Amino acid sequence: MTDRVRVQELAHGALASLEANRQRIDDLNVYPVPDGDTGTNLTMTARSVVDELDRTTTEDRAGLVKEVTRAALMGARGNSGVILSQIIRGAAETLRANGEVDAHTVAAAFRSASDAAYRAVRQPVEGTMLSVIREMAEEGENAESDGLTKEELLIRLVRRGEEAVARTPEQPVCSRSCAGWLPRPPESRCRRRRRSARKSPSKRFTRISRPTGTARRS
Amino acid sequence: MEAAPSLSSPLGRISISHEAVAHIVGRVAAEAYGVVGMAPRNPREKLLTRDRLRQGITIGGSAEEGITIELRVVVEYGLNLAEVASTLRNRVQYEVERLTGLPIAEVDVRIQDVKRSTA
Repeated sequence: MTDRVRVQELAHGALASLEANRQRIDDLNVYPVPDGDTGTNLTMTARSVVDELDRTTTEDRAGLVKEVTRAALMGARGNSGVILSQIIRGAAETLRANGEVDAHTVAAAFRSASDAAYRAVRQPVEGTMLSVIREMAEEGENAESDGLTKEELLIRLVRRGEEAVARTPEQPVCSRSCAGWLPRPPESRCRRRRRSARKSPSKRFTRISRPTGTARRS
Repeated sequence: MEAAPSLSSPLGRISISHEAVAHIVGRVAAEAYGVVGMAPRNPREKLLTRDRLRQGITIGGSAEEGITIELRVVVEYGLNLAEVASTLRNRVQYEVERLTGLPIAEVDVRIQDVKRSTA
């Protein structure tokens, strides 16, 4: 199997998985704005990579890396898409080298992906896709992951990623998007707030018709 | 100083200063993905703005017509600038409306520069 066919297969697989879970990811979206479009944005970003790969005739790995990175950058939609494009870029840079991709390379690719994603943010918020990719990178460097085959390592990384996702509702991002800088609300309240968050808070006030200055002078 | 946007309730008036709004915007910008810095309008603003969080942020407008927000930001090199700017705009509008209850008339995002962060 050539590199091109393999990367096409991988990209199609990723896109199919995202499409299947699109609604579920949309429903998880509470940050940065709870508008429920994360799944859609990620799918559109992945689709632009797939489209580019379907068109390409390049066979060498460096060329493929360049095209994948560029397609992810240009096709990035929304906050999650922009972060995904950085994760793809970081991973692709490590995978550019020719030769067999072994467990060690996979771990290095996750580290590079995590570093690239974190490079573009000043104050990373825990409980987002950033903390998930970081935990996966840490798992790859874990002593217990040493000596595993590539397949075993990937299973391990995915499991750690799922655990990290499951933990996100308890992480600070929830308190930020639900209660500003107030103490973190319990999870159930958090969900409820999320649903009501789309209503404009301004409805709770009646706005005065004249400016403050006039009121003081009269 | 310009009049602070205010809202009235049966118990009295609530006013929120432009500085307070700018502070909220500054916090949002600090954790926005892709934004690696704020760009002051001129060297004078850089020296005179005591609160670094408010640097590069201009607030105007009123509670009646809606407030206007302008941000001058530095974005990480190699990112999709249009998407970074539109995410930042949405998030600023969402957070300011949620925390202050003020109507937002306009959020302008100016990408003043791009920067390549070192690993």
